[in-house]
Amino acid sequence: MSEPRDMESAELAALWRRFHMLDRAGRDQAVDDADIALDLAAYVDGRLSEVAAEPIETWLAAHSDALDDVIAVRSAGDATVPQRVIDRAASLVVGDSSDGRVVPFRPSPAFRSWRVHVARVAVAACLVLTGLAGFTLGSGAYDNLFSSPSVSGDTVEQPTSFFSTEDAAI
Amino acid sequence: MAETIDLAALVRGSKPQWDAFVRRYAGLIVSAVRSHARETGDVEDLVQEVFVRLCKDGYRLLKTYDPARAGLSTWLTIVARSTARDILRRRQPLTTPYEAVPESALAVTAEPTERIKLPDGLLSPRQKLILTMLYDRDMEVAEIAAVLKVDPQTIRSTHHKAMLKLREHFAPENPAKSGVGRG
Repeated sequence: MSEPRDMESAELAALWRRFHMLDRAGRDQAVDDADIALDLAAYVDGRLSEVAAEPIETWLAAHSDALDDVIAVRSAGDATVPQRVIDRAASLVVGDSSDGRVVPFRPSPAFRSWRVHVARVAVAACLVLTGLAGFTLGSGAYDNLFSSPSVSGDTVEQPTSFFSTEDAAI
Repeated sequence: MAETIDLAALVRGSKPQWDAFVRRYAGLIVSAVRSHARETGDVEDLVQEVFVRLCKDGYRLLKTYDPARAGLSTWLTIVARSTARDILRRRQPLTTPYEAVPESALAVTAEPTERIKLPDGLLSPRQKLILTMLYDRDMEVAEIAAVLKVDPQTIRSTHHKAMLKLREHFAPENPAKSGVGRG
C-alpha cells in the first residue's frame, strides 16, 4: 500500500468543505461530482492521511450507496465482455483507426459558401438563358408571321405609333 | 501484457487510444455496474452510458482524473457505479403501485422505532464507519480490513475502543447521558 500523501492545507480544507457540504445537503445518492469521485478513490487506495480521511469516513458511515461503492472496489474484477459491447462503446469516438485524430463529419464554412455561390450562379444563368431563348423564339415568330405573303394587312392590324395621324383625327 | 493507455492522447481525441481504453476497461465497468442491473440488457446499456459519460463534452469527466491522487481502476469503478445509480434512479417511476407497498407500511398503528442519537464527537469517524460495516452490513473483520486497507487487528482494536466509549456513555451513572434525547 502506498504511503498516504500529505495534503496541502488548502487541498485538505477543500476536501473537508466538499464532504461537509454533501453531508448538509443530505445527499444519500450517487456521486456525480468529479472531485468527490476522486476523493473517494483516493481514500479507497489508501492515499489519504488520517486527517484527510475523517470527513470521508464520517460521510461513508451515513451514506450507504457511497459505502457500497467503496466496498465494491475490493471485489471489482474483469468480467468477460461481448464484442458487441466493445464495438458499441468504441463507436462513440469516430475517426481513422490508423491515425490518432478524431475527424468531425462537418463541411467547413468555406466549402459551404462556395457551393452556395455556385448554386446561385447556376440559377441566374438558367433564368437568363430561358429569357433569351424565349425572346429569340418570340421575335423570330413575329418576323416570320409578317414577312409571309399570305398574311394580308387586313388580318393583322399593323401596330401604330402612339401619335398616328389617323387617330389624331378623332 | 496489459495495453498502456495514453490518457493525454486519448482526451485530445485519439481514436486508437479510445479503442484501447474501451478494450482494457470494459470488463471492469461491467463488473462494477452488474450489481445494479436487473437484466442482462440493462448491463450493456449501463456500460454504454458510462462510456458516454466519460467521453462526452470533449472527455470532460475523463479529464478530471488525476493519476497522482488515485488509481484509474478505482476511480472508474466509483464513477461507473455512480453513473449506473443515476441512470436507474431516473428510470424509476415517480409513483409506487399500491400493490407494491408492503402491508406493514400501510399499518395505521405502526410501532414507533426508537433511534438513539449519539452526541457528536463521541465516536471518531473511523469508529463509526467500522461499527456501520460490522453491524449494519454484517461484514467480517477480514473484509473490513481489506476494504480499509488496514490490519485486521486494527479493526478489532478500533471496534473495542468504540464499544468502551459507548458503554461508558450509556452507563446508568453517567450524568452526560441525561442530555441525550431519544426519538
